[in-house]
Amino acid sequence: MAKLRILLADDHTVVREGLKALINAQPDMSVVGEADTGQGAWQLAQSEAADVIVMDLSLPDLSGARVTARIKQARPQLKVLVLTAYEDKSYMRQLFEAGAAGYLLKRAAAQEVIGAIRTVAAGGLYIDPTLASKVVDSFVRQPASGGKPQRGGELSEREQEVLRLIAWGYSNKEIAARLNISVKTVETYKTRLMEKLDLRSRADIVRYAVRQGWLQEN
Amino acid sequence: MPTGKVQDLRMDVERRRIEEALRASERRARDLFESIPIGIYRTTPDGRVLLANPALLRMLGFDSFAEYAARNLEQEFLASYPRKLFKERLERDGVIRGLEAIWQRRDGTTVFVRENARAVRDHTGHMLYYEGTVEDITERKQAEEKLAASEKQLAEAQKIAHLGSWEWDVAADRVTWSDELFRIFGLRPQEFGTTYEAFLNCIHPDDREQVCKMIGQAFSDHQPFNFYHRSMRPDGTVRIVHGRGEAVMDDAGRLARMIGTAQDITEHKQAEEALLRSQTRLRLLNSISTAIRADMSVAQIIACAVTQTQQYFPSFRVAYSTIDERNRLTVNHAIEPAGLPPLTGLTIDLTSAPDYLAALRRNAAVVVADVNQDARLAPLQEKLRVNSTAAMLNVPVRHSDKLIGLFCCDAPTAHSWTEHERETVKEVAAYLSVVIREAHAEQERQRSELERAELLRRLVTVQEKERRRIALELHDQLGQDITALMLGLKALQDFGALPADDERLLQLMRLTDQLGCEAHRIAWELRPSALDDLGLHVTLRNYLEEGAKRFDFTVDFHSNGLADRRLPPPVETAVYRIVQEALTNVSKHAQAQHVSVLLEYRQGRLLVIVEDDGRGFDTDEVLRAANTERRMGLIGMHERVRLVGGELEIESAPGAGTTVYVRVPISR
Repeated sequence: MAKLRILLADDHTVVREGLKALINAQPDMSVVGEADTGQGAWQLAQSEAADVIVMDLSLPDLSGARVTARIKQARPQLKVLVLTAYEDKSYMRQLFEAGAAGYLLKRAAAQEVIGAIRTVAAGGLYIDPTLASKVVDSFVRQPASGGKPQRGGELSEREQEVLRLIAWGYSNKEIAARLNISVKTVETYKTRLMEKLDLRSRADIVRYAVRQGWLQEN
Repeated sequence: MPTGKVQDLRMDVERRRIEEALRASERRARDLFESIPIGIYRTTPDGRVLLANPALLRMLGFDSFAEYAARNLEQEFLASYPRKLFKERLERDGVIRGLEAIWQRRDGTTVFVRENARAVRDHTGHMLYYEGTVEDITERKQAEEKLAASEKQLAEAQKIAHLGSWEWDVAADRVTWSDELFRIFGLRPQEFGTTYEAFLNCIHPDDREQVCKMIGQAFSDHQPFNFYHRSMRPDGTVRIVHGRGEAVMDDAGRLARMIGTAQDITEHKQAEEALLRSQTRLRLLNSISTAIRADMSVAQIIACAVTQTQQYFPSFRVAYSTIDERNRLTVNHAIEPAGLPPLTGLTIDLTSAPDYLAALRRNAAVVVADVNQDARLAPLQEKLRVNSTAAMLNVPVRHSDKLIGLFCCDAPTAHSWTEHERETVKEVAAYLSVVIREAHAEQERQRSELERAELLRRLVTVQEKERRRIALELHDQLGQDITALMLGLKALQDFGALPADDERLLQLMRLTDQLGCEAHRIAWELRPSALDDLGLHVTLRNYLEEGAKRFDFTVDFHSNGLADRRLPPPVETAVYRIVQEALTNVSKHAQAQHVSVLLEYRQGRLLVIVEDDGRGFDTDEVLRAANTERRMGLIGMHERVRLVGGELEIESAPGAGTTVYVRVPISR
């Protein structure tokens, strides 16, 4: 069985050497090219027939994201495994969109890199376990208690008016001035309408208003 | 008849006739003595009265001669009576004529008398007695005194009214003046030639012709005349005189004399002019103060002051100039009379004339009658010449001891500035100073406010930059090193240098992993790189999701209009930090359960709301409190919002939660 041909792109020599040693220790893997810049990585990707490129996200000159996008374009069969110090899942999304096959945190690299290479080489997506849990988290914690729009009809006209103005971002003082009532009264209306609609927070109020079509979301 | 007898008879007749004649003459003399209204007396030098006629007795109030004769005259005379002189004169000359004196009457009252007297001596020359007449001149004397008094009054009146009178005897060409007229013309009586020509010499040369014409006219039409002219005193002072006159005809209808008055109305005229001046000056100042009250801009007020002052002094050029820190003068606004070059925009480096500059710094006004005579201006000579400045009146405008401006009048010929001109220009400048100083103070305040904001902005920028740098360093350097370290440990494990389950090795790997996590956390808290790379919306969402784990309240985030929109980096940073600060505050003080963070971008405006349902607080009280940490926190939030041109509002009341509103206009 042919060995997996691996490319390495990282500007930190010790890291690169460490990774190379790890990979080359695998009987079915072999590092066939190394680069320490984005430009170098791009050239390698073009010249070397490799299966996986393990690439640091923050390379000098050309960023890892750009190189990923180019590879995806020119060598779609070359799998990109991004190695990064950044744990924001937002980055991850960006890179997956650009065509990366795996997203590996540097601090976990020593433990995970071999598994990750195997996963992407096999055509799978690899997400660092810590990040994966975040993604699941935010999926689970979906916009909460949405209120009960069907009960909106129970609001008095004044309460609806106050709700609308709160959703539009007016302060209690401004609402009081607009409706010619006291700030205290605005607070009372607000408390009452939140109780009636079972809204916990101002964010709920805004979402309620959006659903009612009172606020145009864009 | 014997001849002798006839002779004797004849002689007898003759003697009788003579005797008769003598008696008649004596009788006449006696009658005269008795009836004449003039007192007649005969006294001895030692004062005994030998004879006194009834008129004298009446004059002195005695009933009979006997009564009078009982007195000795030496005791009768008043102390003021020149008895000694009287005696000496009679002794020496034998006669006294027309002595006017005061006698005392019997009842102690006095009588004005005019005396004639002569000494009568015997043939040996021995003094027998004095004989004299006494005339009562009291009435005449009183009339004289009255006349003198009324003349004195007239002179007094003339003096008070500065009104002199004159009379010109045309035929004799003799001019008579009252004392006051001499005073008006500044002459002593002996200096005046008392001719018409001499009179004309007193008239100001410019007015002479007109006065001649006027008098010539009166000559021919005999009508009263009335004119104003200036007179010139020998010392050169000019007075303004109002003359009136008329011609006086003789019986034959010929012009005999001219009489008239001349009144010195200089003071009156001056007062009138001063009043007029102070009225117009008041109008000038009033128009400037109206401009000030009308809330005109400083430039408009300066323009108004310069224009009005120039209209007030039409023959001068009027200018306002600013003076900068380097003592460079720039003419800001100037108005000049026709024919003078315009000055607006002219610049002068005042340091080239250090003495002039020093005077402007030091004095309330620098008054120069002739620039060629003023050494302080010597270095500016050429500039002044080119601009036709020969005389100047400078009033410096200072602000906190710094010279900031100059209000200036100048004239194309040498001119000695009158007090009125100096005072007016000073007053206008004083009005201007107030306005300009206020504007300067306002400018300085605004400048220091801008500087403060700029300083803060720089501070914030530097702080963020430093945080970003450290965060990057942690990721890219420390992070890489930790990765390298981890790889090394892994190699140790994999390649059998140590047993794979060596506890020390495993502990080192755990430690290294922790170190990596920690470095990442610190970097993220310092400044999430996502804020630069991915924007506010994403970063804030991540922050809230991460933070939710640390906070003891739930955070509900809703954002609208920002998913794909990047805002200016300073705004993103400011909002991110403000939300962080607000959440920190909630965590520290509010005891809240739910917090909403709302982000909305709509029509060029970013709205951020952080609202909690905690215990709230009295915003006024916190802001009024001393420099507590909490107050500084609120002020810090305010400042950060202001730096990006936005505003922050905090609504809170005890028990009612707290809402922070941040509104930032986004320029596109």
